[in-house]
Amino acid sequence: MKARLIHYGRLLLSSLILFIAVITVLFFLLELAPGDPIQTLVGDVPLSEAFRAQITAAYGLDKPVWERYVLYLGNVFTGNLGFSFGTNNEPVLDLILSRAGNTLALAVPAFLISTIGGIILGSIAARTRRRWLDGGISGGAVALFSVPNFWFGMLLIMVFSIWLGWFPTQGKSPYGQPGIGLEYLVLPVITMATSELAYKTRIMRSSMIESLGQDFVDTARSKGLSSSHVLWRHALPNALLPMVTVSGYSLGYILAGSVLVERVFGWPGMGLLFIDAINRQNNMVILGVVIVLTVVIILVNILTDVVYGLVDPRLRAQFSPQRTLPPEGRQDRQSDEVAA
Amino acid sequence: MTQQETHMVPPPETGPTANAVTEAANRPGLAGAAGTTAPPDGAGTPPPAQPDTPAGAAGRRRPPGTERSPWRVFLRKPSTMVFLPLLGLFVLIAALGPLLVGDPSATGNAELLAPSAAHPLGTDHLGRDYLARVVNGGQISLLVGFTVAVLCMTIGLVVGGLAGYHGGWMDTLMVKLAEFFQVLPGIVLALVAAALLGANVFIIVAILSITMWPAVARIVRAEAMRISQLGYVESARAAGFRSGRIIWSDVLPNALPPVLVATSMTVGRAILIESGLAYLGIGDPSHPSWGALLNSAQAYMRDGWWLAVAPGLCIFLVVLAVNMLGDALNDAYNPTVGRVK
Amino acid sequence: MTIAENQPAAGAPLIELTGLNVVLPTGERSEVEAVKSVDLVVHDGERVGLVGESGSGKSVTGRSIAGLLPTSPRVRVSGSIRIRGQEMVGAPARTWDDVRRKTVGMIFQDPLTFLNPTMRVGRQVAESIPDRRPVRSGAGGDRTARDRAVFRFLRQAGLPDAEQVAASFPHELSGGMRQRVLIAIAIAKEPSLVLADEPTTALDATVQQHVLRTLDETVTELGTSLMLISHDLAVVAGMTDRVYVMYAGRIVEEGPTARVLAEPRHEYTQALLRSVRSLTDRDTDLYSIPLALRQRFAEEPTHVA
Ligand SMILES: Nc1ncnc2c1ncn2[C@@H]1O[C@H](COP(=O)(O)OP(=O)(O)OP(=O)(O)O)[C@@H](O)[C@H]1O
Ligand SMILES: [Mg+2]
Repeated sequence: MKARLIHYGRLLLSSLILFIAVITVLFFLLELAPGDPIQTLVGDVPLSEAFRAQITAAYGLDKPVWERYVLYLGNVFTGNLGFSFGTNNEPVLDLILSRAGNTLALAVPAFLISTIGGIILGSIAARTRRRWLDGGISGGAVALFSVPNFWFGMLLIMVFSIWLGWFPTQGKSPYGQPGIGLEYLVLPVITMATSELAYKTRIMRSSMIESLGQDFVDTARSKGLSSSHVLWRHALPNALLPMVTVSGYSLGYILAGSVLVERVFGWPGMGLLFIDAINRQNNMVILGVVIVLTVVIILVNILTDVVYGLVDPRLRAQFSPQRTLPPEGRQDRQSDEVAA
Repeated sequence: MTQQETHMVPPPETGPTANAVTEAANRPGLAGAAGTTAPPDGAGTPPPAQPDTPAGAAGRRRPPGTERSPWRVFLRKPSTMVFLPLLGLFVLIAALGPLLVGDPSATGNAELLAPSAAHPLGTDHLGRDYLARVVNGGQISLLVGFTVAVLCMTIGLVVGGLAGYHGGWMDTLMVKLAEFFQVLPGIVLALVAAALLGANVFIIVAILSITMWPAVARIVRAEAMRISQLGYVESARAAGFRSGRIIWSDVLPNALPPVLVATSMTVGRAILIESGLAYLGIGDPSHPSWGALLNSAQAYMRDGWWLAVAPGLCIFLVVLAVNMLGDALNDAYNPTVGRVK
Repeated sequence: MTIAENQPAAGAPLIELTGLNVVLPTGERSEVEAVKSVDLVVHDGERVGLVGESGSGKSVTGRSIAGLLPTSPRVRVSGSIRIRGQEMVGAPARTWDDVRRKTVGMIFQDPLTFLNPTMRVGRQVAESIPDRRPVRSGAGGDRTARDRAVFRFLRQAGLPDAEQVAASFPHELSGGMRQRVLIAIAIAKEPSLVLADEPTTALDATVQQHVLRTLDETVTELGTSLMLISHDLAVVAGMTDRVYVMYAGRIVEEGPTARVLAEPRHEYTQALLRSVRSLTDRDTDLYSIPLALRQRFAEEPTHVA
């Protein structure tokens, strides 16, 4: 128990360090950016003197670098991500949070579809004796993995929206209406899910093949259990362990990919906000989105670690002090010797 | 951090096959599993009752030397025979094509012409020949992809080799750095850097290389760690060989197949990310790459479908080719049929 | 073959292999004849040893009796495997499931890898108890009766703290304990034959002795037959009545264990004994079977002495 606390303490500490590292890199990218720092910070737009003074005060721009760095860190940790340059200088954090729901509406279904679909397809491909089925699934996975995601979205629009007319092409709801229309959701979610689905299918396939090849599967078979019992009760739980880690990472990648997908479908989420900010050089918003994304990814990583520790009994016990055996690795069998 | 080490798999950016390779590297060697490893020539005295000489094995098995070399297995694979020429074709077109197709920015044709004999890929919204634009766009995409891959391979070999071979603080530093780049997806970092520092090709190549090297480094590190514990490296070290030399002559040859696999995956990922950046408008506007062509095609999906189809198909085929070749190489070096279950 | 031939026959030996050949794929184009025209019989209540050096085909022979050969379609089995007179070569999967459920219990070599790391030990044993198998999360089946049976088999396998062991995961147990769990799994179905493939090779010497004694006792208590596969002649000597010597996929010698060890008839057995003694006796020079002899053995047709 104590060992586990130490482990999580370390995990939190290294996450914190990672977070600070990201902020540091961002800060110095800002420093490196050529030109007037205030202009860099707000972007390529005319400034009112009042706004200039506000920023100078907020970021202590008249102070030396290290002082500004500490100030910046402090601002970030207190949730002050600066102000968006715009009509009413909205706080960046508010702006991002107002968009987050729309992005999650895409990301969460995409995450679930790709994870569950990947587990099922990968298992089928790993187990089937039919070569064409395995080949089809594996080949399809490589292909989908090689498709530029945003182009796949464009193809979907051209086929299903423009040609067949089944779905709308852009946006999240009919013009002027609040909320999210279900028919607007379909294509972007599919687009977001595909490359992750392809990746997870591949991982699951190799993990399942590995699991089915393990010795304990032979023990299960030796009990006369049906082959489906062996697959679902013995091979699957072990094959799922790597999927926990992969799924943890995938959420970060789905969110990062939302930049592209939201652009394709004109979906007003965080990704589109990010792109707009880049196009208008609204740098505080750019940095704000990256910081929020980093926080999400780090939190998900911690969560993944916790879940993994709960799922794998070997790790659950790895923290108990009496544990002696390494979690993996075999003992030397010495089986090549004729006699002992 | 042992727990992290045991279950952390590289994130999607490293590519699935690279992942499989790392897994494979941790498994006991195939020959060892079959119990047929012959003692290396002149490596001490053979153990007393070494029972499983080839003659002692049950039945007829091909002696190790007569199995086809992995490299030849790779070249004979059907997917290699399809995708290697395909990739060669794209490289050739990128290298020589621009000389043949004429000026990509010459206007003057009718706008949005569908593909025809005169304009095999039609014309764009400004009446420019689309074939010329696509051929020229490929140059950027391929250049970025391959440059990033070569840079990643170089960084990965040096950093991974040193970290794995020396261990200690070098290793810790590498692991931490790799972790850092694992946290932020490359495309995000690239977008920020490009937005703040400018969007030229060099910056994009630099950023992509900086974010993508850990995939290769991880593999080299594992191999270097393994090798540095083997007896013959001990003796090489004892004989006074420098670490750089040992990494070069022992670590490298062993790590090369998985490194090549990871590198080919890097080519694919880099091309995909570059196209994504260009699609978002990050890139050199005077030399539009395939992704940039897709950016302008977005507005004409209804009236000029070919504008969106051709560049995307090119990206897809090139990335598919490198991924398939990576897979084939991986299969050739790690045959799964060695011991069936 | 006729239908009559396929019925379990009274008086038929428990296990009867005749002219068994097993070919396994080793590469995309290569394969190995792991077992070559092997004849082998195990009667009810008998204890039979199978010895031979690494790679001689012992495990493959054992696995074919339990129907646990690799499932790849490239695996070819020919000849005859009869279990209580029933022909099993080419038998449907269900028939094999039945045999594994009731007749043959197999104990494997490596206690670390042959237990499912994500499942509690108790459940792994329970799964092996016929008809008391856990039916979908609790519902159906007498839970306490099943648990009691699990504890009983664990104790019988030499694990007195059965309750605690049943609640553990495999990695929480020592190697010797895990091997006992494997024994419990094998005997939980109260099989007619316990097939132990090098059950103690992965354990250190003292633990090895304990586990072997347990195996010995349980087999005696249950009155089941035992087939003990080992490369360790000493192990086989102490535990079996009859022994088969295997080399390069063939049976080269068969006979009462005491006789085979005392006066081996086949040259290979003699050589094997000699190389073993050279390892244990201090005053003999190290002896390993010369290559020329090996080659000759490998080419010779089987002749059971
Ligand atoms: N799954 C498999 N796939 C391919 N070849 C195999 C497989 N299992 C065994 N073999 C081969 O069959 C032959 C006999 O192997 P087997 O495992 O039966 O030997 P053994 O006598 O049990 O040796 P050991 O004492 O090492 O366990 C060997 O040449 C081995 O390489
Ligand atoms: Mg064996």
